[in-house]
Amino acid sequence: MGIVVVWIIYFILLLLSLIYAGVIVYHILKYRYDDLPREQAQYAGRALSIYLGLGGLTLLLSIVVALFMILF
Amino acid sequence: MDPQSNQPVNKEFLVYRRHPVNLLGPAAFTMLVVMLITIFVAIITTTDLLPMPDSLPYVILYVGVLVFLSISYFFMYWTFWYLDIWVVGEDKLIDSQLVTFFVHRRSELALRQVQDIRYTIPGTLATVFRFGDILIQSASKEGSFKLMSIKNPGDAVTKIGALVEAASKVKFQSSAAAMPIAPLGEKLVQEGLISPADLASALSEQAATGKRVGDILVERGLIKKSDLVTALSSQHRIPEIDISRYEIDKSAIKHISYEIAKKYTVVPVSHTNDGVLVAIAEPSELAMSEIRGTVSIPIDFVVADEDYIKEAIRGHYLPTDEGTYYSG
Repeated sequence: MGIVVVWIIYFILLLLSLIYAGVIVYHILKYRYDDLPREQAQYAGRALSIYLGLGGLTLLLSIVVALFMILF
Repeated sequence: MDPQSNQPVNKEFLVYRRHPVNLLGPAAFTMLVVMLITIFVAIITTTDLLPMPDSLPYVILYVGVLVFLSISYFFMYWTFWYLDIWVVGEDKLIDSQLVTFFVHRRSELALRQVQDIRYTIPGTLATVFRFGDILIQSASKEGSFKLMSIKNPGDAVTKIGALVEAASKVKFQSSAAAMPIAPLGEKLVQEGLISPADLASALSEQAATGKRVGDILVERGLIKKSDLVTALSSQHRIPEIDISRYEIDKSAIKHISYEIAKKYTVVPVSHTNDGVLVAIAEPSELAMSEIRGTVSIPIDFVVADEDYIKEAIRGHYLPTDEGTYYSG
């Protein structure tokens, strides 16, 4: 029972984090070419890639390590 | 190009945003949180502090989400910072800002309406990192624009001032010169504010009553007064001004006599570099030429709502037995 609650809370937290990230990504994608000069819009795109790469890697790494420890 | 610099993106416009020092707070907070999480994980993996030894994988899962949230927190601030820009082009200034999530604001200011540019360096941090706030006072409905935390504000003011001067020269060269002035009614039809039938009807009434077409259309509720002022501004290629929101420079009043102000429905609103800026309700070439003939300094005109000009005349000129004088 305890482990189930831990997993439920984890997935809720993960979902909220992903929604938060989605909102940020949405604003960058929506406004970068409307508001920014082309070069700066491209820079914003690169910054977004770094954010998604770094954030995604952090999440993925934590999940892989945790699952590895649980399963093996 | 370094996107965080204040260099021109190309020859036509300048881009300004707040100094990157504004990101120091969120960056420090993010680093602190990540550092504390790292220390926490290091402690629990090297000691027996965990209440349940099997719970370590779950701690790692939660840590992953927390670090992701910390990175997102910083990137959110970066997004707000990066999307808050001021672009100064050849003829206008655009203020674009993501105020909060899902709230975006964009306003524009014609450079020819800029009246004053000044900057302040607010405090020690600003002095050390060489940034300041630039205040651009305009004669537009938007009032003033504030460019916050701009790197090298003195340099920015010089560059913006040069663009303003260039835009003003273009405006004043073209305003009174050769280009033909289209009739007001045609302008309003072209801009889709009234139909040709509305114009024909108003012209008939004008022929019968002698009233001005613009006034007839306003009386009939076909256009608003602000539309009329904008159309007059466009027709005569003269900037418009909302003097109901403008603080009139009392020392400028003395340049135009009460009689002239009343006769042509004009009021001086401020000083320019070498002359005076005068708001006029009906900017005909004849009227402007006659007004210029009554003073010894250069006059720049702006179009304003007739009612507000009359109110300003009543408020700033005080008739006396000997004649008139200006207040203040």
